[in-house]
Amino acid sequence: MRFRAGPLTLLLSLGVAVMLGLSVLIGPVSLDLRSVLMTIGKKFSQSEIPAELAKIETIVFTLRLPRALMLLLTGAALGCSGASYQGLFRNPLADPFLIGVSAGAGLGAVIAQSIAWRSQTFAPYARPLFALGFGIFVVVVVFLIGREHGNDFPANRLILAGVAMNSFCSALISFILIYFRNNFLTSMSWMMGGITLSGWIPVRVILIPVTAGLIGQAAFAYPLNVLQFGDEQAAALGLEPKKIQRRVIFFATLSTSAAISFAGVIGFVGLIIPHAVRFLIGSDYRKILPLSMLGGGFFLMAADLLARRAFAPREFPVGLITALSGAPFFFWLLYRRRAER
Amino acid sequence: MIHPGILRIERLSVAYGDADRVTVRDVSLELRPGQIYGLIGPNGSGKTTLIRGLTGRARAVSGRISFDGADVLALNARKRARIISIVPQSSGIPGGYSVFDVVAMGRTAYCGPFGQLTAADREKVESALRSTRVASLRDKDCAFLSGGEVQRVLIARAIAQDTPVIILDEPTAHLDFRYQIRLLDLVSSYSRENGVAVLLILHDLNLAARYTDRTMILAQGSVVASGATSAVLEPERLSEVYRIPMERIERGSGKPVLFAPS
Repeated sequence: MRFRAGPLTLLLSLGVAVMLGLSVLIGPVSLDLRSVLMTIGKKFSQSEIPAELAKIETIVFTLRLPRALMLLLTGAALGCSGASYQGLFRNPLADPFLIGVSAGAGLGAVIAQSIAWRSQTFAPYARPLFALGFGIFVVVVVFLIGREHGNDFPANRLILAGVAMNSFCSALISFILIYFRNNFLTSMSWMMGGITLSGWIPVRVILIPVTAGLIGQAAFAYPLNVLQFGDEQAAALGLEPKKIQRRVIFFATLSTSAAISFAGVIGFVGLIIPHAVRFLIGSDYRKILPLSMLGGGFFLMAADLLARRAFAPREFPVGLITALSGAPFFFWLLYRRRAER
Repeated sequence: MIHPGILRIERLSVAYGDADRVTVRDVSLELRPGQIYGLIGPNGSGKTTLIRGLTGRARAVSGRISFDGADVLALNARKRARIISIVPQSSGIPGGYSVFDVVAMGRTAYCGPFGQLTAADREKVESALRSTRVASLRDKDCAFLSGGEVQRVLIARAIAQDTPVIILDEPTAHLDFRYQIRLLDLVSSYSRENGVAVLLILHDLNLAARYTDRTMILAQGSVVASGATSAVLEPERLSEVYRIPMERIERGSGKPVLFAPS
């Protein structure tokens, strides 16, 4: 409880706004703020866009803005669901990637993508839908297997169950990708968490499920606090643990799988961000969840900027950066645990 | 003021675990306002299972639990939590929550979905903090409390829950002698002043003798004896239940002392 939640919220919101701006301005073609603002002004006043700004309009509105929003939604979804899973499993290691939900959702998305849908309007929606189905299946399996004596989720059981589901689903993903001879480089970069799609369709498809999932999770922030004392005490205090757990699983998996279905299998955001937030403001999920949304969005946009610009003209999937920051973070976590003893 | 009433347990049998094995059989008990009941018995005799049965966490196979005529087992968790509160066997409190946060969770059965407290809720929490003497710790992170403080915070949470019945599951475990006495003094004065019925699970027979009005002995899931404490705590009966010789010394106070002679 080193920080108050209010100032931190303000700071992170500001950070998100700055990152949105930077994502629009920085790229292979650098844009200056003035002409971008002018273009946006013209666009919204619906006046005619002069020829010299037409190129900027294309870059901003069909490439960079949808991508930035995609990253914001995905980061918010992963950060918040990570926190929810940790609360649900009462275990700080429960991250959508580590417990296998991401791979499960990825498998669903890949299957949906491999089916030749008749309706072109439905096709993009099949991805989050299938991702949700497989994602929920994985969480439920991990939840049932990871449980010991009906109450606790020891780290080793949880991680083993997660690793099992993760490698199983990843193997199936590789199988499907190779069998259907998808573009190897695109598939590879998707598996490593690279947002390979641009345009507004992905944003439009995931906006509602991600937002609904986030709102749903936030609604259970207080029950999650009480559940930290165990099912037995939560019940004695007047809650119905099973009902809450089912709903949290649904909403967390809804936003995670929708995000993953287009953004790819991005790891560790759901681990790093909630930990950092908890470190700063304590264990109250009413603060952890919204701050993890903001923090996740900020982190993913920053990581993407780094992935695309640090080695320009080479561009890397954003999942590479999150995975790279995941390892040192784990070591820091282990170090802290030892120091606490 | 707490709504007074009698919690009546009639011929309750409880099954626990995956198997349909009945682990507690045919228990009848009446908890009356302002009285303290002891529940004693060897390890594994079914004390904790009985409590799980009262709160619906273990399946009641037969029998009835009613409060003021209402069927307690048919109530939802929120309504039941307004009748019975439980102080669990202390296993620590998860870190990152302040003492105030934890005690305020006692209001879960009354407050809104985000745990918002009304002025009345807040007053209940404050008075619970005061009566358990943890008010000065209100902002402290529960990860850094001593064993005695943790136990007081959990009792404060139950008091904030404002129920006519409080069940305490071995509240004195892990506490030194002085804290055991202080804690049970606190519980007993709260019970008498507020007309709250208390069910105390205890291992220490002398604490049972000192603090309870009535006592029930459970062994292997069945009631061995139940009634006024000094009549129930007979050395012959206890010797049989615990399988060691027991002796009893009468004192002027009417509260006997029990011990296993060396």
